[in-house]
Amino acid sequence: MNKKYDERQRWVNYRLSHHALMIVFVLLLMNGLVRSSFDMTWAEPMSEAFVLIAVPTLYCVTRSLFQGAYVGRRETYGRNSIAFAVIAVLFLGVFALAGDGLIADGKLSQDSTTLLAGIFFAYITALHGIKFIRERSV
Amino acid sequence: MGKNLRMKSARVKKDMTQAELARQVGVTRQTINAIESGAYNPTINLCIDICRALDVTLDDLFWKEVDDE
Repeated sequence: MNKKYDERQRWVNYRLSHHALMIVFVLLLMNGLVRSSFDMTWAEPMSEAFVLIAVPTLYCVTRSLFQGAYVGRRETYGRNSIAFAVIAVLFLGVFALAGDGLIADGKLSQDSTTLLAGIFFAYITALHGIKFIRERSV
Repeated sequence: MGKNLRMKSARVKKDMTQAELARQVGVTRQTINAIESGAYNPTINLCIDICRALDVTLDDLFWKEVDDE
């Protein structure tokens, strides 16, 4: 048993993981339908994988953060938000310096993964910041 | 599931905040808040820990008469 989280947090995490799994199923099915029915490739393989993973992950992170189940019993939203901000800046910096653009040949480029990762971590940073402010005001 | 006002009043009687009770029983403050507001149904082990921390019995906090429901 993971002692880092209490019983309600584990219950919330199990429930949200199940929701996320359902979202993954739906996204994979939709992606398969679009690719096979319309013979359409909308992204490079790595970007496609990133988008399909990022959507359910963000759902899970957002809901578990606002239900107080993302971090363990020690509330470390402030420290976490700084760590995620550094990662976001790194990804966005790499894209700004070396990225070739978001779209190439009518689909999400390979470089877009870096930008998407930057946005992903910036979003998580913002969520942690909001949660940190809300926790301090309680 | 309704609010657990008996737990809230027992905690206030002991002059404890949600955070203090949470620390004593080893859960987060949000978990105590969820139990008091009726959003989470705790396990029997947590119920016992809460009762010990508040010096009350399980019946005092968690037993529901048919009329209560």
